[in-house]
Amino acid sequence: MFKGSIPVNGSSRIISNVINVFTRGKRTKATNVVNASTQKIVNQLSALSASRKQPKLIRLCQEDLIKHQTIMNAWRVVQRRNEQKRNNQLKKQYQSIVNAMEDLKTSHPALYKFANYKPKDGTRFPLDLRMPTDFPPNKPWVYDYVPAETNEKRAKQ
Amino acid sequence: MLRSISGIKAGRGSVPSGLSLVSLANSLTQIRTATKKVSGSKTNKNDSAGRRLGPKAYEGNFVKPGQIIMRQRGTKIHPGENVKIGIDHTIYASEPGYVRFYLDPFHPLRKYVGVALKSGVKLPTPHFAPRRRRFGYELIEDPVKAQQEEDHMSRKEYLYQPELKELTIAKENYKQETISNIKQSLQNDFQLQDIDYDVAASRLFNVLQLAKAGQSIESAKKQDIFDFSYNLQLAVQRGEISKEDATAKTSEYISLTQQLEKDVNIDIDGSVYKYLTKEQVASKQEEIIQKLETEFYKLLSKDEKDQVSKLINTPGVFSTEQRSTLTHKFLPDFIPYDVPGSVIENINPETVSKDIVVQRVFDETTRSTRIIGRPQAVFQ
Amino acid sequence: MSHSLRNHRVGTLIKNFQRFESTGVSSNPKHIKEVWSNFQIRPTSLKIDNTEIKKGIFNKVDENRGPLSISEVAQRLTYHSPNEIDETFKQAYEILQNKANETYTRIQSLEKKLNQTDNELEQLNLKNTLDKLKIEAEKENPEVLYNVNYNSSDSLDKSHPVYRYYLKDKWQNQGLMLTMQRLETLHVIPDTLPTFEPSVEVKVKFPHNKDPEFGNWITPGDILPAFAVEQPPTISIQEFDRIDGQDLYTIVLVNPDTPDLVKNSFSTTLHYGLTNVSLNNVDNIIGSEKLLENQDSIIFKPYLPILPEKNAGKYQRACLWVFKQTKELTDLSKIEREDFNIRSFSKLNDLIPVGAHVWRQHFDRSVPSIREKYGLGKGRVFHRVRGTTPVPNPKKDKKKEEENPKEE
Repeated sequence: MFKGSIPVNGSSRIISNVINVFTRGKRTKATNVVNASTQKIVNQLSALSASRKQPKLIRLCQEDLIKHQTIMNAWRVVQRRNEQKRNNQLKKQYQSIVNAMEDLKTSHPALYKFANYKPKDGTRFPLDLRMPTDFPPNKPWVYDYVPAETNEKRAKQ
Repeated sequence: MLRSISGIKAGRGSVPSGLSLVSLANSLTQIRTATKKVSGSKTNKNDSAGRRLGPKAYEGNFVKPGQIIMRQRGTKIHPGENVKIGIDHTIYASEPGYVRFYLDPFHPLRKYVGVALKSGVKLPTPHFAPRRRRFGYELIEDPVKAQQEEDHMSRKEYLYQPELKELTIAKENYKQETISNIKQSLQNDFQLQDIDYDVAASRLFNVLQLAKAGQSIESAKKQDIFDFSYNLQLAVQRGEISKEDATAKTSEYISLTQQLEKDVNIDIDGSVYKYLTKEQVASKQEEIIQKLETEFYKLLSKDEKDQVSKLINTPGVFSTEQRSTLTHKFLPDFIPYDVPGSVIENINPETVSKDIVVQRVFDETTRSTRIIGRPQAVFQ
Repeated sequence: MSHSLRNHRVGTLIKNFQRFESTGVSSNPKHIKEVWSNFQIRPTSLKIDNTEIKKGIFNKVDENRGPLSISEVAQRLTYHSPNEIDETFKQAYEILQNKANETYTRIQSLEKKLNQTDNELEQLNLKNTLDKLKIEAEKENPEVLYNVNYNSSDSLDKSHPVYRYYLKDKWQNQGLMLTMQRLETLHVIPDTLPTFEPSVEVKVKFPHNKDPEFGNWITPGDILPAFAVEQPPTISIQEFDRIDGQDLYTIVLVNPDTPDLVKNSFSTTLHYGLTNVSLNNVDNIIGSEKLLENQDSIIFKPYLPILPEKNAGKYQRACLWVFKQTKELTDLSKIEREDFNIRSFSKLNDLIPVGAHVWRQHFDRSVPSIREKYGLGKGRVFHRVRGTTPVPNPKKDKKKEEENPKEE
């Protein structure tokens, strides 16, 4: 209700007269449904008292607090730039593979076909062979996993 | 099962033994024998008389303040406009008017009861419409009684009276004293020509009071002129003086203040001093700070301390903030270790004289403790 | 945590910064260098005024005297800065300043462009982008951070967008919420106007007060004695968006709790009306100086303090509304004080409510003398106990009279 109604500067400012437009309707349930993992975090946080969720008070003098704030700002900038650099690198890698495949498509169609060959017994990369990652997965195991082939068979029956 | 039994019966053509039949029949239908319990069941005795719940005033009925509208267990009906709810959820009117049972779009599952102040009015009042309110207080027309009522004090106010009286007297005394002081210093230290000393002193006093309430001296001066002209405006409004008189008086006052401005200024601590221009203030500030740094950055005797405080509090030179930082630096409560002459190194704690205090301090650079001596003057 | 481990951590932080420094920024000869210490292209209001404090931030905190910002002596002398904070700060400052340098090169090129164009729309767009860039360039400047956090908001330079950015942030997190809460719980909304979207910060003080308790900015909802509101208030209206030139405002002070004995209800009274007040980001205070200079042009209804009569309700609300004008207004002086309808007033004059303030008053011992000063005569006195007479209903009363006419 409070937030910025007059965003535009200068002479061409357009201001709507809120009184005529503003109406408050009935509240409806379940407007913001979050996914399960977020809900889990929300639940966990709801068990903590408000005081424990507060950021820890930094006991420094004003001068040092400003220094601290500046260091945190710089650290954020550094991290953001590093991340951007990595993303750019990955984007380039991906683009170069796309280019190589496009090249292969025209220069050697048979090789291209072979490169894109998918064996019929399910996926090429078995699900039970998990991709190595830095952290454990959000969804540890796919219990109702059915290989693609059996699906096809069932469809035929 | 029945079918099979009858089947057996038909097939065999003979009468089956009576005992087995009876037991079968027993398991099929229950027979209630003629019995009567003498006293009733244990659980059925807890009935009480009806509590006479329900609405006591209906839609459109006129109710007086305090009249009960609804008795209920829990909030079957919620209290709406101009009604209140009691400890046992009884709803009663808080204003005289007409009962309305209604639904509120903000709480679609609740039923409400309210009191409309007029008979034709519907509830709930639209969300963005002003509230309808009853004033209710009655005018006292008898002037004697009215005066009595106006003079009536609450217990708290009555008990405060002696204290308030003392405060006003103290305030008045302070005012008289300060004004006479200002007037005296104006007469003695400044040769002002054609100036009404009383008006000048009262102006300076007003400026001082305003500055003490948190304004800068400059804005306090402007505010004082505004106050003067505003009071004259009110006098014009009351019909005491004419508009021309008021403007003439205002311009006279402004010219007086301008004349006063050239020579005199007042400091936040109440001392009157010769007016300084901005450049003069800046040069004086520089001069004093330099003097303090060259001469008084050391262990000070009592006389020297007085000198420093006099320098810092030179009227009209430093602001209150600057004064506090300077005091902080040159008259610290506790003398830091870097002030020359405040630390005596290489002492033997056993043979040291009585006017030196031995201290064991932690040295940050070598990360070890060492023993130093400090003169008594550090702690005074 | 042991000391060596902590040191080690700080060491890795510094190394990380160094690694970034060696690869991150390429030094371009065209770039502006060390922009945060360059006060030729930037205003000096972005500097810390107190040289001692500045020394404490950019050099080291004086070990013998402790940080200047701590006032208590014992606390100051036992204070220790975190390890290597100054070294890390220097590097952090350099990184942020390099970023600001780049932003300022963009700002300069855009400013050149702005000087060259005559197209108004383009100019407006350029000005808006420049504001954004200036905020971006100065947001992380430690000097600006210090000024915003530890100096009073009255002393900040509101012509610079970065200060307005931080002030808006501060206002939205506290002042705005407090004001709206008070306006709603005291039913200023909807008793005066239905609702509104606040976009300016409104502050009120009564500068004639010689008592320090009443001389400062008042908190919305405060209960003030009559002597504290004797003379017209100083009103500060802080816009956070850039204003090119001047904007016109109308300000009204109304009391929706004036007793109306005929209707046995309340009516609204107009106690103060200002119109065509031109303000901008910096010149944003309607104080006694401004009132003295252009009294006749801006005041359409002179100030009359709210002076509640004895026993006339629990308290009366002084509701101050600030409207933005869409056009210059004339002929407002004909409006009556009594039975003032603020809704039709704002609708009739195309006024947009942008801010509000409220304080409360009830009868006290200073009321009679101030009534006399304003030439109002003696105030009415009401019974202490509230009566039970219902609100008269003219329609119904007429019907009754028709049914059984008065016997003569």
